[in-house]
Amino acid sequence: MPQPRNLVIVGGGTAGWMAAAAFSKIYQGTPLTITLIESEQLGTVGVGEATFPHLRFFNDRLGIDEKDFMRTTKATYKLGIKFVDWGQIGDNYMHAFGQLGDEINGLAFHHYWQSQQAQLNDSIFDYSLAATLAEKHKFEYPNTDTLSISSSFSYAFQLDANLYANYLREFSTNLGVKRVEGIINEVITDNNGDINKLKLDNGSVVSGDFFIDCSGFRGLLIEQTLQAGFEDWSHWLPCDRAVAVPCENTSSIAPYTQAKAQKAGWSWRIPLQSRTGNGHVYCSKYMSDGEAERILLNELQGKPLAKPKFLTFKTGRRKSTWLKNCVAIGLSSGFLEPLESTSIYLIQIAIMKLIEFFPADMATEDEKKQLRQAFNDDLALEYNRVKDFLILHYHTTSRNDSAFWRHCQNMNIPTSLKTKIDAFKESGYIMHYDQGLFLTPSWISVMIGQGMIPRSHHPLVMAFNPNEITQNMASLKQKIAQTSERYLDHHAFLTQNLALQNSEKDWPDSAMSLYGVFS
Amino acid sequence: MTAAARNILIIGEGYEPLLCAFYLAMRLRPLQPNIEVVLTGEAQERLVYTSPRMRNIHRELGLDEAKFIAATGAGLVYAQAYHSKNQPPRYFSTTQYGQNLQGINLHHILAKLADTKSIIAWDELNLSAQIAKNKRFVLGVSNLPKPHFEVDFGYQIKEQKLFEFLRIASLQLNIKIIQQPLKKIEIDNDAVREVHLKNGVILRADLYLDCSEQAYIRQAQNINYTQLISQSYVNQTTSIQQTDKQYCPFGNIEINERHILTRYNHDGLEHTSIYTVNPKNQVAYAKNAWVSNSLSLGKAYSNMATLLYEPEAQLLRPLQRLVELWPTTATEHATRQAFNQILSLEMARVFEVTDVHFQLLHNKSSNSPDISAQRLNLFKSSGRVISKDYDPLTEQQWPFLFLALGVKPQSMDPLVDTLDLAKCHHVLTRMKMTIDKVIKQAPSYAQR
Repeated sequence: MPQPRNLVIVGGGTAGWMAAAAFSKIYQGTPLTITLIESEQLGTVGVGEATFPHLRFFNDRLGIDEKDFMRTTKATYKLGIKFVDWGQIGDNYMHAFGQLGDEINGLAFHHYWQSQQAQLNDSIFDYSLAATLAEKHKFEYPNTDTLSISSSFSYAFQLDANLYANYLREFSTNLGVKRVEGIINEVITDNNGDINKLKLDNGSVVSGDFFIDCSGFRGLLIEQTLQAGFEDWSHWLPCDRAVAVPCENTSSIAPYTQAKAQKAGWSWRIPLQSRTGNGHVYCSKYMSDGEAERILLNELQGKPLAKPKFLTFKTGRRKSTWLKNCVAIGLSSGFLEPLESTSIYLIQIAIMKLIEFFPADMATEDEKKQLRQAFNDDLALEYNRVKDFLILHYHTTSRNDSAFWRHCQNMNIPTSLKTKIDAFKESGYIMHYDQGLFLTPSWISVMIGQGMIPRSHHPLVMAFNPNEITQNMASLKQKIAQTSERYLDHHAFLTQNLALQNSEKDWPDSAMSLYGVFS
Repeated sequence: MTAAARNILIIGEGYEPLLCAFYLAMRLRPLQPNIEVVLTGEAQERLVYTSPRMRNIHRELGLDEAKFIAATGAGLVYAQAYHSKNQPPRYFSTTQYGQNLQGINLHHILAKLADTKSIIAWDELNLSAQIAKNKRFVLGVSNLPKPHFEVDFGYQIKEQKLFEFLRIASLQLNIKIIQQPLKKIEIDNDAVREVHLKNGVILRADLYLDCSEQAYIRQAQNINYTQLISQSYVNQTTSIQQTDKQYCPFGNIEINERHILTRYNHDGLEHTSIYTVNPKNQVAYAKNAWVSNSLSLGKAYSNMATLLYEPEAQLLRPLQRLVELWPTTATEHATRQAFNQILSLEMARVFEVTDVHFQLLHNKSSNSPDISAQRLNLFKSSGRVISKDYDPLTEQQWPFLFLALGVKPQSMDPLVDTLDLAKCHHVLTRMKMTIDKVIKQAPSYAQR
């Protein structure tokens, strides 16, 4: 019979309650007890209102009804992120959750697209159903028939992160998670350096065998107690401030998040059912708080619903995410700006990896060491790959209208990213990998979207019959345009679909994939 | 648009350069390439064995598998039988074992069931492994769901028959085959300028591929292997014997304390290799496979024999990558660097599969940490596995390779406590019964 174990989660924001929900559901019926300590006084940052399709997989594992979840979190559907003014002012492109054209004769589509540009002069995003639907503000569920073009995309949500945390709080406490209100005054460790007790301001003591630190930027356990150390990436991602404000919805609800490049950073727009979340991420070296706020307020589409809220951050990650008997999840493990909506994904992947490598109750020191290493390696890879992908947006710009953008163009970038950019520039080759969030379609979207056209395309393309290529491409484009016309308006679908109470599951199964309904 | 490399010269011995030439001729057909092969050595009397990935190559090239089998007399290899002292053989196939339940890996579930005396052996839940074990002949099962019930196999082929098949196919594709020793290779700034044959003929090309055991081009460039493979210092000795033993649809891997032995048996030949640890023979691979206008592949790329993945991993996989970024006259450093990095990672993963076998030998040379040691230690201690980019095995397959190797985890995933064991037992027993039924109805391998 296994021994009872006590898991203690510190912090009750999105990360804390996602962790509590996952562990309480997956370890339901076992002697594992879960305690979550949070304080109403401290509040939460409420990270990531925009998400990735992987969140559907997370919710599915918990058995959450998608419609109930959407109604509660005021969520809208999301098909991608629209980048405005990034390559240069006046440009825009959609990094959509779907495929970008079809492979032909075993060669990636973008080679064919490039070969035809002298004649066609069109956008590669016309060959993505997800991007086309997003631009037209249309949405319906993807089809699970892999032969259908409608299976070529996936979808995520734009949600109120605080409401999501509340939703998961109710979910978790119903499954037996004990919520403790209080502020931690002291962290007590044993002779090995493992954490074993937390003393709260009300005098109570919470003991645990394993701790998850979701205390936010300060990293109460992982940094203040265990001193994991921080890897600073601000020389690559120099933005260090954000200001956020919600506003009223005014027009049609877009099924995408907008990221618009500004003079010294970028601004976001995330439409929810009842309001739009707005924010401006900027670099304090190049812009004052006042100017950042003015830019944000000038671009609001509707009436502001609150006072602008400022946030300071440093980009980077903890050197060890799992140290001793403590794992940091969420902002306590690191921070990457929300340019690609990765915050909730990074929380999710940390939780899933922790479940995968969670030690058995009688685990030896050697076993724990092995598990920690596997977990830390995986998380480091995830963070590093997201980091490279974010830097790509800044570095590959042609904008030279401000000192900030000139700095980004000329800054040194990680070798891993440089090799990838150089290979693409030279021959259109994407150095692909299969671990991590952003795979080949994402890299192509952003590279081409930012105006990076390879010096040459694949030579085999020219060896195929050019008429056949043109016909194939025209037919795909037409099919996408026609299919998208048949789809409902996003707002209409949302209203119609969420009005259905107690309906049977009609949404497609989820997958840990960004580009379609199957992994 | 710049011109594509069309003139290709391939150097090597036996079937390997012909396989490269055949693959490139098929894949680059629209470019109408001029391919010349310089054979510096004959095909030997030995068996060539492949993993099931070779079948994907057939599909990629649009080859008729039945015709290939008939023409080469290929035998099928459904699994590898792992032997160790005083234990029955354990069958490892690269198809899926049973299924994971509630997100928990099957081997943890089986370990938990074994605790409750409900014993199901892990290799009883793999159709291909059972076909091998029972020496049956099955080409596929269309009425059963994949991947839970999958029949897949590699080949074992006499090299001389494979050579002959490729020679004829190459001639049909206008590939020029020259059987002639090399005299010298002219190098200029790492670029191959000319290849001189012993008969005085001088050959030039846009791109040179070397898959010779002597690594002629690399030697001429004076570039050594630079990437060492973990702690394995391996010596290989091979013996080929005529035999009247029955056809056998699996390979054999025997792991003793001091050596690893592999044995294949097909078409009257028994091909045995013994691998021992030898500190004088350092195993390594080329840091850069593609240097200037030449590529080193196969034996020219590494002196490590891949127990399970010859030849598709060391020859055809790099060629697949090469076709993905086929060079033009504008191709420069960046593309080559990208290719070399990807290939280096892919090959490292392939070698790790081999290396975990050598990690089990008692006299392995060092204990320093690397990925194969990390994989092994993690599995030993906790039954968990890690997956990496370009892994030739999936997260589901790794545990069964370790079990085949005789490695038993000291503990299991705590999630097994959440399982309904009776239900798991029922599901898995039904799978086992389905497999048993297929085996019962299948003809024997000898009757194929």
